[in-house]
Amino acid sequence: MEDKKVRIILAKLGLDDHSRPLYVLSKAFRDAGMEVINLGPFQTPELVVKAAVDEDADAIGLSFHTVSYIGWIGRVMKVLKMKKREDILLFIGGAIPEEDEEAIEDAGVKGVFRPGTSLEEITDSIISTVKRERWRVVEAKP
Amino acid sequence: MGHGKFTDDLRKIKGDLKTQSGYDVKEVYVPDDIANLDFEGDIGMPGTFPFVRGTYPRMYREKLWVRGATPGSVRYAQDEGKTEEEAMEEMLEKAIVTTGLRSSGDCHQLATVDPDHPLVGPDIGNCGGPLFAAWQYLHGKLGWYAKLMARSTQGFVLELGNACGPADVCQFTMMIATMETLGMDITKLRGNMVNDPLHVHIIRSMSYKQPLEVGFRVSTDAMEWCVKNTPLFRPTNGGCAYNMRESGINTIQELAFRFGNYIEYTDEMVRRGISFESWGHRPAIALSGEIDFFETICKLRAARRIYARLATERYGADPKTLRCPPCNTNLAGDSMTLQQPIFNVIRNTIEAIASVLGGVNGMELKHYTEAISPPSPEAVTVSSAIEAIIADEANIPLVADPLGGSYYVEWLTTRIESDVMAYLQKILDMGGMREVIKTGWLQEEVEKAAQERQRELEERQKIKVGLNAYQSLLDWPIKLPMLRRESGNPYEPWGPTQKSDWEEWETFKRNRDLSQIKPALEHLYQVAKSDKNLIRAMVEAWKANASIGEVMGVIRAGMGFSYDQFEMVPVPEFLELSWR
Repeated sequence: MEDKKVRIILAKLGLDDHSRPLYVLSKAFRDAGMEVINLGPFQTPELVVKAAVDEDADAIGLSFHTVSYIGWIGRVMKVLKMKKREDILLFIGGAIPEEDEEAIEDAGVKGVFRPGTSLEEITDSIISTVKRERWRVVEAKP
Repeated sequence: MGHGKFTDDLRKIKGDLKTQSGYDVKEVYVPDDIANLDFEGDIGMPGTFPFVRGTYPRMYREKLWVRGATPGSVRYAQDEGKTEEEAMEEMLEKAIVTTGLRSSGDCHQLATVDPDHPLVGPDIGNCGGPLFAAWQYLHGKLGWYAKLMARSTQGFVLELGNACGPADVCQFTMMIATMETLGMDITKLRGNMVNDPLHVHIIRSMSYKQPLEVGFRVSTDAMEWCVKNTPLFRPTNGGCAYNMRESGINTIQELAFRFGNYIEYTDEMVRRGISFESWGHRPAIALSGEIDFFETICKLRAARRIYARLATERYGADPKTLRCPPCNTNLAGDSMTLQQPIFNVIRNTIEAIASVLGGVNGMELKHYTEAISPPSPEAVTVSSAIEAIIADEANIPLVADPLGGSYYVEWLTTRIESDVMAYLQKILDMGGMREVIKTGWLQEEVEKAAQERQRELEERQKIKVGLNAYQSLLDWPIKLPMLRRESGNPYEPWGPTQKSDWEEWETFKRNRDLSQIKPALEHLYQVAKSDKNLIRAMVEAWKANASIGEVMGVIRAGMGFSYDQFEMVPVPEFLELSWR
């Protein structure tokens, strides 16, 4: 169990081609000991979920530069539900207004990372959420 | 917080005090630092070789910089029940100093695919206005833009800021089709387009998988066509330095990549028999207006001298008759923060003053909303006021190149110039920009730079107030009017504007006459297969009501690439049969 690594799919959906975060995050996640499959931009919800299932991933991380996250998240959730793979955790990051955060989390997204969040905060949050909610690891209080 | 503590803290955090691009600077500069400079040959007068002091002899007394506005708020106001035309008129009126309008396309236009492509989905109308056919200018919601085309023949500046080469060329050729249909004089069309098909491959963003060969062909065909047909329209800025800079590179790389691309296009024009005298000064030098005040000023001054040196040394131009292109800035989007957006007004002001002191002929300000959304009408108003106050209250533009002769400014200008020339030579020795894009060397350089920028921020070597330092300044959040969300359910994938965009696309598709489109696209296909110029055939295809996905698809197919670069959409049935 100790050696098990958190495995994450990184992608951007649709035509939003601001891919810089994917490369910065890939490196940060790998440096933190995670396994990263970076699909890059121009993905559809179907392609991303298929990759997550095929690669046995714990989580999907999507980066958004436009307001279309609202439309895309719903579609990803729908595909996960259709495949009965809601156990795969969804995280998103990008230019997201604060007032949207609650509704996005209500929709089932496990973490929303807004501008100004450090790479360390993002990495820690994803690893601990996967351990807690997916692997059901109870961490001892220090 | 006392003054002493302020600087001590800064020094502790940043260690060495360096400029944004890492120049170690001395405490003070003296005549010895610029002893090697010759006034006549290296500095000179504004409007004369080597143009370091400005494009025109009388600078802002001759002509103030072009003050632009973005129509982002046009789409916003439309959601309040106004027509797009009413909203545009209102915005131009509010932004009273506007002398130009910059437009940007949405994702599908930038990718040159149709709105019903599977990758578009909820992205229709995001990032800009959707443009899929000249029909929209003639019969659709964009009729107001056709009115601006008429205004542009009388001096109003129309800027096409899609940046991806083919997306700009598609919009430009749609405009030509519209103007010809409405009987306007295309030789009087005034404006410019970014049209840099190379930079999208460098920054690994906005390439939309458009093959490099297709982008280069479409864009350089447009450049050649413009020289011959639309003399007042600048067909490229020679290298979209701004977008490249935003991907994390430094000042040296920004200028080297910009002039590297300029050399690619200029060599191609010369190869096609266009003289340097009629071409060289046409691409405007458009750079990023960065937050590092003196580096930005010196970068602008250095850029004009680099142009002058390349023109004379590489292309054999005569320094006595050489003309200098206009020099513009687009203020740095990545300097803006989501935290305390009012601070962005200050950043905008500093970058705008630096741009004016550097001698720009055009400027696109950012807005305090930049980190989160397109500008609200209030944000456009504030940015317009910044320009008006700099020009008319602060009296900054009275004297040309007011910092010329400063030991520090001349030293830094020269230092930037020589470092850029060395880096550019390295690229040319490897075969030029197209070659180092193909080998992936350039993308690696950008990748390294992006990682470095992020590290600098995280380790607080670069300070952004409110982001990684001075957090106490966030204690009293200052509320500003941001772009209001479209009316209706915010969690509907599409707002009302997007719905009407989609309806317009469906109306267009339903009412087209395929028997007109087919021969126009077949002709375009044959031209694409040959080495003839594509532009006239593109214009005719728009007149026949072809769509953007079809026009670019046929060009891609004609050049031996996949009709849909994402390989998700097949060739339309009505075309497939006819060209086999």
